[in-house]
Amino acid sequence: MLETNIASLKLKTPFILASGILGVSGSTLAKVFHAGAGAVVSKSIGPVPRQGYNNPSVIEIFPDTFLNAVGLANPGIDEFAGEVKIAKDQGTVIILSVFGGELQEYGEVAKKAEKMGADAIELNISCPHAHISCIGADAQRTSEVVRLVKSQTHLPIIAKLNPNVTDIVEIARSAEKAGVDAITAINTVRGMLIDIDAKCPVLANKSGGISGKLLKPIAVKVVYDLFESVKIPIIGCGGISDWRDAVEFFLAGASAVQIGSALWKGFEIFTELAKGTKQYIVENKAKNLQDIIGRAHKA
Amino acid sequence: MIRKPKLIMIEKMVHETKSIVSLYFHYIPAGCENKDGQSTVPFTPGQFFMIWLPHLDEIPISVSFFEPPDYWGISVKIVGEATRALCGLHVGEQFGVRGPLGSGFEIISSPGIFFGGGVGLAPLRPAILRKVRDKQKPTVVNCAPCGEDLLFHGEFEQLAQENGIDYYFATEDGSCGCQGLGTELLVQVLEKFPSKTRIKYLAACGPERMLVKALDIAEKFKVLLFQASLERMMRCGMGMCGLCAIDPLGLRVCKDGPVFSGEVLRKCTDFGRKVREFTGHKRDL
Repeated sequence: MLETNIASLKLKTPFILASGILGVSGSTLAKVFHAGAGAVVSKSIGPVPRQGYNNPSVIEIFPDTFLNAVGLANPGIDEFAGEVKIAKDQGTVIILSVFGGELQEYGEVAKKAEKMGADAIELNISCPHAHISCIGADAQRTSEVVRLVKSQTHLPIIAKLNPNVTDIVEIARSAEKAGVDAITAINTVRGMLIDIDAKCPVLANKSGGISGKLLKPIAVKVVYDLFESVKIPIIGCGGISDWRDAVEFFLAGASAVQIGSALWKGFEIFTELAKGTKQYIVENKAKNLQDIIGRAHKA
Repeated sequence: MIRKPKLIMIEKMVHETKSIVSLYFHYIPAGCENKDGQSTVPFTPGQFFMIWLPHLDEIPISVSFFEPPDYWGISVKIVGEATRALCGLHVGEQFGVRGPLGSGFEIISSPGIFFGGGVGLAPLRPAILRKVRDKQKPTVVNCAPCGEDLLFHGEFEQLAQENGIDYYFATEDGSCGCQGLGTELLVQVLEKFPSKTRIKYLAACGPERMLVKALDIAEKFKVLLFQASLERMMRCGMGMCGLCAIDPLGLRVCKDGPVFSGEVLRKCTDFGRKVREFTGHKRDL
């Protein structure tokens, strides 16, 4: 009932672990997958190890709303092979989130990810507190990076979009035209918290990206708009913390959704999401998940 | 509780050893403030704070003292830039506090044995003091390289005299107490218990290799429940980023821990062997 396809990627449930959450260790990724995720997205991995920003790098700003600037910390694709192997050995469907300093580095990392057994690639062209966000802020460069990675790997390519732009639809269309297989909407929204006693921004990087509850209405609106503008599957992402949130994204037009910040509460969320969504489908006399995708547009 | 840092003012500082300083302060976490001045802060001994030094860093530090409703203490060992800066502050100066975070020690009805090495005594202390308050007589085993490094030594000696706790201590150089390793003293202490009574509880904190030995000892003596507190690099401190994961169970030290049972630790191949750096790179301990 909950099966969904993202291009050639067949998922048993439409609930995917979002990038940047628990994505450092292969065993944690496997644990999340076996807790009921349809797939898991790794932490964004680049060509070489990267330290990221100092702490504070992740804080809560309102209940269930977070601000982070981790700065793409990662051990580099070559070392990460070990973690992918651990996850794959346990049957995990893993989408590797990739980034690069230069466009061609995206291709190199994606190529290596395919070799090590990743099931799909998510292009991080949108991290709001790192220089790569400029790729996702530009339709031309977005299409260039999609074309380049497409030419380097046979895996399905998902572009994760940057919401900190004037016209996200234009960027999504140009990614679609360049051959991207799906879109994740959205990455975090830029934000800052200033401590009024310390009189300085709290994050070491000063600004960061807002995730969690606060992000949901922004993300739902983007998914709704994209559903009317592109034909490729949309993966909704932003502030989903229960099945009602997930259903909202499906009705807006998402074929699958990503769960991130809400994971701090526990992995049981995946079971709850599946149970609630199934019940909703039955109660609303729909046949399956596909039947409710985009339904809010028909009203 | 909202897990964002809140600035507090240092009320008291105690230079415990040449490299360990305790800092005391009043603090109510964001979102726990109550209009009538009463706060309801959930705290279990073994939990930790993320301590923020504006413009410098934010680091995990165990709570070493709590007197409800809002008086806290942390004990900090100087190991790097942030801890040096923290220990260099003065009464009246400020730093940020986020938490308390993570899981704590199980407070069971039996008095229990508390085994700490160096600054490892810090997270054990609130559990020990709670036992004393409940008129139980816990056993404390304290060890350090030399007498000057024995944390809370004077305080535990006093608790032994006035409240009847069983206090044992050892130093590697023999400058204070028995000469030898803490784990050797722990074995001697466990041997004192009548062979027919099963020891119910052993809590430990200190260098991880010492904890590995402590777990071996706990198993040898068939201790009913062994718990140890681990330390790892952290970012979020609330189970989101995954940096502190220990394999192969994929447990998060900041959220599932920092206190883990012996049964769980036995299944963790990382225990005593591997830690992750800030990049996520895994290196030998």
